[in-house]
Amino acid sequence: MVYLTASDFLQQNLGEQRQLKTLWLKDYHQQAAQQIFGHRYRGLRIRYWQQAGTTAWILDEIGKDLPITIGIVIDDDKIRRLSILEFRESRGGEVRHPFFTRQFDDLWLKPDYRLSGSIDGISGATLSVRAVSKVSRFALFLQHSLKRDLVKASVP
Amino acid sequence: MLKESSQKLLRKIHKKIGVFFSLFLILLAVTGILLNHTETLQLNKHTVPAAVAARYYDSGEAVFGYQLLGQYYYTLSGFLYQDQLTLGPCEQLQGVASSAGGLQALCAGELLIFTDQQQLVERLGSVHGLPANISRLGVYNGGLLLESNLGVVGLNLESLEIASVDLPEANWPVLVKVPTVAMLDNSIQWQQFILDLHSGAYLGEMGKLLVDIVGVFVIGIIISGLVMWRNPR
Repeated sequence: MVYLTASDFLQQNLGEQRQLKTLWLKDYHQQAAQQIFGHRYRGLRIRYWQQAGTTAWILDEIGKDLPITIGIVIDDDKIRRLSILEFRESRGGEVRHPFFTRQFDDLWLKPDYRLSGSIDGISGATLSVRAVSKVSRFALFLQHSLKRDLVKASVP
Repeated sequence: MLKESSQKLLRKIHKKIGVFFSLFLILLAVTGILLNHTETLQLNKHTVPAAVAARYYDSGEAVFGYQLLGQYYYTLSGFLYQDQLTLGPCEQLQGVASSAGGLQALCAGELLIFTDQQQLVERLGSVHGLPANISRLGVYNGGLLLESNLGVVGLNLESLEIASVDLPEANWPVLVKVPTVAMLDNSIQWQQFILDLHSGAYLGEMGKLLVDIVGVFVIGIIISGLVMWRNPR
């Protein structure tokens, strides 16, 4: 079930002036993915969108059997908005509701790859809650890594 | 004590069943002996040639896919394969192409980009600006073409820029039947192969039933032999 199309999500959060960018994954990205998801990220690069200092990431993660497509907008290393774009499983779809997604607003990533605040679970949707939480952590890590790569590139 | 006529009948049945099933019994005995020495003969370490395995393990179900640069691409149980190599999840393969030094596969409207080393680079869909309902994937002049309801467009895989193109004589992939030998890898061990011969499994359920029947008749021959032994002429 598509709750929000990707183009609407990007339009609502970044507007028309957004730019599509590419992040090539390095070893440290995969190590972080391993730590956060428990598996490596499948793929060598990730596309994301940027408008000024704000980035938007659209990532998939399997809840129980099928992937959940999650959109995350990050501003100043904090989650500005998290939306469930597509939910394919038969159970656990409650994670799409604002009462759940609002919990991620303004959270940031701690050095141990955990979120700065706790997320209340939803009974019957434990795996979906976990998947959404993991994706939000990985998106924050990816955003953080953009700065890290930028700093590295600027060092003479 | 059996009657003379009954003894004659029993002898006749014993002989005919014995002759009829002797070949099966030899097969069962030989395969049984071989299996008994699996480790000594290293049957669990050596594999059956794919061509031989294809002959015995062909399920008869036709699998369709695409042939590209001498290799077959197809989906089985939700996974995309290149010959025997699993490339990743893919529900419905709609085409494959080779451009920009890599491989592209269209899976249920989503474009999967692989390196020439079969490593997944990324999955692209309408979220990345690709047209919805892509139905075909083609190559023209080394560039990638996508066909959707909106017509044929060219896609730059790096910038993801889409350019409309006049319908050229593109190289569109054609659906073909994938030969079993292309799907089977060299993973079937001799131990498995001989066990399947022994149990009849290489003929499917029918083979197992046949071996069961042989087993029942062997019991029958033993009983008839014992009866004849107890009732000499």
